[in-house]
Amino acid sequence: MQGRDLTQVSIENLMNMEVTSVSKKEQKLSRIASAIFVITRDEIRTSGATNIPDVLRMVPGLDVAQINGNTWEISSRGFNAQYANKLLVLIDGRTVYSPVFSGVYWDVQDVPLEDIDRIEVIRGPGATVWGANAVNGVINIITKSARETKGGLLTAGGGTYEPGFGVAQYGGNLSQGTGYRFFAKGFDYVSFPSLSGQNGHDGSDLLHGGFRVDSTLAKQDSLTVQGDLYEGHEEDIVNNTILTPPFGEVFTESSRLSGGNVLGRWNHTFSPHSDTSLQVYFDRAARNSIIYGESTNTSDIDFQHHISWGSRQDFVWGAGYRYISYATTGSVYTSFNPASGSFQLFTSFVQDEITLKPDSLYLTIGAKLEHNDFSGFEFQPSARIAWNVSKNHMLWAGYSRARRTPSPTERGIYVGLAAFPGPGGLPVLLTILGSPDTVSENLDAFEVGYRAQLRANISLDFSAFYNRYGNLATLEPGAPFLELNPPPPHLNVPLIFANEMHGESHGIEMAVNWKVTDRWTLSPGYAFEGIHLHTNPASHDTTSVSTGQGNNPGNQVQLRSNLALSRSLEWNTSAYFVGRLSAEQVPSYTRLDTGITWRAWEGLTFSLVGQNLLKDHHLEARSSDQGEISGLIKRSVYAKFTWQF
Amino acid sequence: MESSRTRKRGTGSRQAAQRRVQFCALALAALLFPAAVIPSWAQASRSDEYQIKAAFLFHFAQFVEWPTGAFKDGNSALTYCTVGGDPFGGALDDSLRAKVIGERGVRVQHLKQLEGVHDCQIVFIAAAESKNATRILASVKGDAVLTVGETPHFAEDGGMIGFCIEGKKIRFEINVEAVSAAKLKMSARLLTLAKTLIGTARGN
Repeated sequence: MQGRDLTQVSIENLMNMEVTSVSKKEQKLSRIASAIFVITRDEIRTSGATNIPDVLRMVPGLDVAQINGNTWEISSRGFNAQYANKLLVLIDGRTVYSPVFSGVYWDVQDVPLEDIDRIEVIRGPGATVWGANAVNGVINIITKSARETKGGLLTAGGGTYEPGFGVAQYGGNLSQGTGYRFFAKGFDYVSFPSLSGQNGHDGSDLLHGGFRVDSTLAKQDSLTVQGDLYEGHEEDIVNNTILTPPFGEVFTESSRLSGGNVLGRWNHTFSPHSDTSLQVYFDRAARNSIIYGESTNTSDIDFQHHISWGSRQDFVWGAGYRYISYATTGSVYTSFNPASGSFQLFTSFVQDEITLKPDSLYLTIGAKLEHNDFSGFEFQPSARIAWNVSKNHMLWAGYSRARRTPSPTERGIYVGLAAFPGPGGLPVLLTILGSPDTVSENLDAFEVGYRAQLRANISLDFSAFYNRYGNLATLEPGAPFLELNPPPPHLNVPLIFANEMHGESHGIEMAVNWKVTDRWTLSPGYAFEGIHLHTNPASHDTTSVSTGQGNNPGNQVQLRSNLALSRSLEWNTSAYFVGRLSAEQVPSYTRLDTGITWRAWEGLTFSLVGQNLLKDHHLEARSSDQGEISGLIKRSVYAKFTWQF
Repeated sequence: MESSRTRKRGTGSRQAAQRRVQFCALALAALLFPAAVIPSWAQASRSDEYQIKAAFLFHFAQFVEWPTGAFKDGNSALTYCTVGGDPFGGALDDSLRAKVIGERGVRVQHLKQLEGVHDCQIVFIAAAESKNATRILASVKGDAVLTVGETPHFAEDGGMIGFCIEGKKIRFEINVEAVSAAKLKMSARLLTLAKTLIGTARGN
């Protein structure tokens, strides 16, 4: 095949030939000294997933667990919990991590999957370009430019878990060089059974509209403006704590979810050696129910300058400012102290990629310096090296220091865990209280990796890590005290947030892409993580060690198969094995999804997908939040059509 | 005969169980390894992306007429240049070796810098050069040079022929305004094969 000369083939026949190129994905990653996994458009499409958490299951090293019909826990390299706080998640550069609860509300992170260009997942401390809270990983969801989504798109479908969902989108040109698209999207999830088999009352629905405009204003400038607006509802069963007999009540609550954002990004190229990027966005997210309400407004401005000096230095520096204001309403069960507030974040970073040996050895050093209202200055350095051993093999290694700043949760939350009658008729309330004395958690991460094109049709990506953690959050018993509010007067027996735990974690991740034949690709993957934690001598915490150690699944194995049965018929299957969660007493489970896609005409496809096929229902996680009740994830099937015109 | 029938009945349940296990294993294997149980079809002609593009570049030159001033003299070779990154991995050199286009010999240059680009008649800008594409196009503006590229929106942004891949097949867009600005003449046959023509009423 090498050196085969096709010039004898007529030009019309050349246009009928099909391309068999190796995935460009591997070529682009040849200089990145991080455990990065890029989910491509095709992988999103063939996964059969209808939401982002299900798409993320294919990344070895990400722990994805669905708690109930509308709630997911996602983390990277361990420490998964409903409010997993060591993972930074961005959509087109906008952070969707809720700073108040320090976690991601996945139920409202709703991007039309057909508009996603790729999802870049970095396990481990993100490169210095990302900031504090990107301790164990970064997920960056990148949507397609509006210049690529021209024409109409209509998808609609229904199934046993999602009785209705659909997207209507239209894109076009405002002028040569300026493209736009706008879309409306909706979904409806029914409820799953609770652990006792009754109706879990965890259904949800959402309506979401958005737009994007991309323009190459001039040869040196490009501008992007995009925005979203959404509103939805979800139901949950709540175990509420009350201070009068019977001291607890179970009821179904309905939450209203709403939000919106607008973002602008301007890229300017000064010369082939220098370009800048300026991004501004405003984001509002709110959720309200009887027992808890939260609304957060984020304003952010971010600037980056990329310069290449000579042939050996590739330098990026940047600065940013973020202002967050939040307001909460609470109840005995959950409230914040103070109930509302605001804080600012100043960020700056520098990063230099030095070519030690052209086409062979690259050293990247950098540091991020931030100032936040809670912990003052945070310095996060990083050094990484990438070695292209040969054209098809590369090795990388890196060290990074990362910090997770305390959030309003650790600093001021008030959770009424349980109440019962006490001495002298005074009710006793067990609580979790935040403390303004909490400090940042820190991490020293040592990583190595190997990426290889083993043969023309097999590629391998391997990474291993060793993490040392300090000042991890613990709950220390505090002295009980008489409390008058909320009435009636009661004895508050608190567990107070502190940082008295340290430990280490280690693991490996492996992903293989094997084009078995021209029509059939197999993608096996494997991840292992082990965590060992210890409390400091001064600590009296009794739960955080077992929770932290037992919240990770140990081993995870996956296999995805993608087969083109014919020109118009495609058959995709994915299988995931997730190990046992010892602390939460969740047994191991295997998930099997399979789907058929039929390309009926130009632009019209039909799909039939079955998910969680192996068992009628299974448990993936138990919620750490007393109020969120875990549910059983049921076997489901859906059908959908997609029409592009 | 009698005894063998009895023996078969006696071990029937175990055989049935074995068959059930075998069927489950086969069904699971079929789900995960479907190509093993499905016969293969005759396949369309397939080749490496850059071998196909190299052959396209050869054909493009046969459909384009350069003005007399574009060449030093009647004997100078038609020069193809890649600027910056070279994704062909030798495929362009192999495809054009000892070829003749319209009585001129053909040669290939792989330029790392922009100097020397004015000796080229055809310039190819790889996808890896997307940041520099504008600058490269600007430097040959006004020259009788055919610019071919594979970055997204190449033809829309001023390049003459932009490759794209649609459903595993290679297509191209032609910016006819840019072609005539360079004083090149392009055969109608090539224009009809283009997916989109930019700068006319048809297409964008």
